[in-house]
Amino acid sequence: MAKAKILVVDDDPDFVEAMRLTLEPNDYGVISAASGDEGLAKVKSETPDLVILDVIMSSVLDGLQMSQRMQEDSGHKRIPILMVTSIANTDYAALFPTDEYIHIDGFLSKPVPPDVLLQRISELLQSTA
Amino acid sequence: MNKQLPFSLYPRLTERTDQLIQLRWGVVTGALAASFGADFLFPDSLPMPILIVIAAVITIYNGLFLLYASRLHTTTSKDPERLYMRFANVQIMVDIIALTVLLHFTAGIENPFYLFYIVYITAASILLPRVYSFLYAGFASILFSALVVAEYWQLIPHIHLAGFVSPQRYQRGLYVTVVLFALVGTLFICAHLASAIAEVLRRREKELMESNLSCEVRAGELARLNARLAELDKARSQFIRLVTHELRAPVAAIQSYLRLILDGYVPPERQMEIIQKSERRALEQLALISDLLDLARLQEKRDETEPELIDVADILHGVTDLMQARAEDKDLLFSVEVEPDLPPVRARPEHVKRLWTNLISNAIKYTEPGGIVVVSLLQNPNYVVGVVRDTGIGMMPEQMPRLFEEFYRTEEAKAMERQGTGLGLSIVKRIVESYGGRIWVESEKGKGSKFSFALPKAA
Repeated sequence: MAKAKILVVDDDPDFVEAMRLTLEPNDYGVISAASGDEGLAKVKSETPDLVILDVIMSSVLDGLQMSQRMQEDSGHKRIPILMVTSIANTDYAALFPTDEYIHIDGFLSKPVPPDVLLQRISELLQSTA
Repeated sequence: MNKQLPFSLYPRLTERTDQLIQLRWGVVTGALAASFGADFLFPDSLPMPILIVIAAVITIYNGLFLLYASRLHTTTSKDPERLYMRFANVQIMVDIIALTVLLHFTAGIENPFYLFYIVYITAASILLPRVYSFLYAGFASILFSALVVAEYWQLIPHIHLAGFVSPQRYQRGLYVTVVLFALVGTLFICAHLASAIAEVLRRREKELMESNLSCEVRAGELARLNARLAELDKARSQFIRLVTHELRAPVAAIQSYLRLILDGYVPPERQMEIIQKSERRALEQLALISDLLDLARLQEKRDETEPELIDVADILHGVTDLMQARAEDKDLLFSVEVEPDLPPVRARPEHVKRLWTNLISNAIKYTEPGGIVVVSLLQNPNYVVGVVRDTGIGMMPEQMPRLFEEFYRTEEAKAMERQGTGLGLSIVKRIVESYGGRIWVESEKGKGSKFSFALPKAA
């Protein structure tokens, strides 16, 4: 099986590091980006198999915008997005623009237990395979 | 020329002049019916043709009043109140004259309907300013007295109602005098009482209108305050969400690292490094919490200590040693220029120290080795002005407005220096503004930044 490539988009380097520590021993290739713009560029240049995205980066909606931009590009529409964020619960739903479609395949709250993360990733990769 | 009412009774006036017209229809109909009734019961006792003529005259002028009233209701005059008052005056005056004429043809003093004058005096008291009540009481008294006296002296004929009372009554001087005294006295007392009551009612009405008005004004103010509070509440919720996010992030990072170590994801040779990273996040969290506390304290303005007269230069010199050392570590050129004889400002020393530390350490943090940081302190007519200039990373114009927002850090700043709560400049701004000063920034991306603050000189 070819090694799946995962793009981690988060402005917190420790979170990226934790992702690497979790994913690399499990035979995933990890690339990272610190902002939505950088993430989009990496999506284009590296075509990852899955994107792990933090919703709130430097600007509150950076992550959301990136997921929307990915939907606009037919080639990247199929890439599953796993949203990981410290937004704790639905109380914070007010942060999101309610009338916009947000494409997310999975939603996990930080901190993510490594086994849960690995399981969700393998589920998502299988469903799109 | 009309005396104005103490406040606008205009809506009441339109209503009441209409009521007068209505009343007059009733009176004419009633008087005619009574006359025909009396004529039927006591034939030839009343001068019916004259009575019918008088009733016709009253009907005609009442019709004219009605026409005029309908025109008046659609008036475009600037002072409709004055027109209505004039209208009320005309009506009452014409009625008093008509009543006197009617009384003359229905036996003068023999006819107890002279009591009807009281109705007009009361109407005048309700409709018009107080002085008019007395004017009309006087007017009615003079007219009726003139009638009675003229009949007494036989200047005009007396018309006797057969079989009603003794035909000689109008010739009895004492009787005539007593009736006139009684009527005139009654009219004036009526004018006094009715106008006094009307005055009180008008005042009440005025107070009510004023209090209604002020209630409306207050309701408007409350609505505005409410909107402002809702706005503040929204901003506060937004802030709390941001704070929660900022506080959660380091804990989440530390927990992730610890979990990875515990679950055996981290090879032994990297464990020390991961623990160090965790500790750095813990320290970052502590710094964030203490900054948040400072911010909250500044916001509450509940400082234990009173602001005192301080020398901003002294405090600057107090921090320069530490800053000089940090700048040298980073191979920066650091210099301080202080204008002599600066006046004191009124502030808390720990706040001014915080001001200098935050601004200078930012300058050092965001300037590449080999750069320059210059701190200067000067004065203008009203302010002591501190300036911190660097040759650091600078920023783009669109980033500057957000610079003092809580948690805002530019991408470039984050890339250059991971650590930072994003609260330093918010704290600085709050400090400066709490003393009535202001802070501003000039910057060019890649060239450097210049932060200036002005604190008012102590009076």
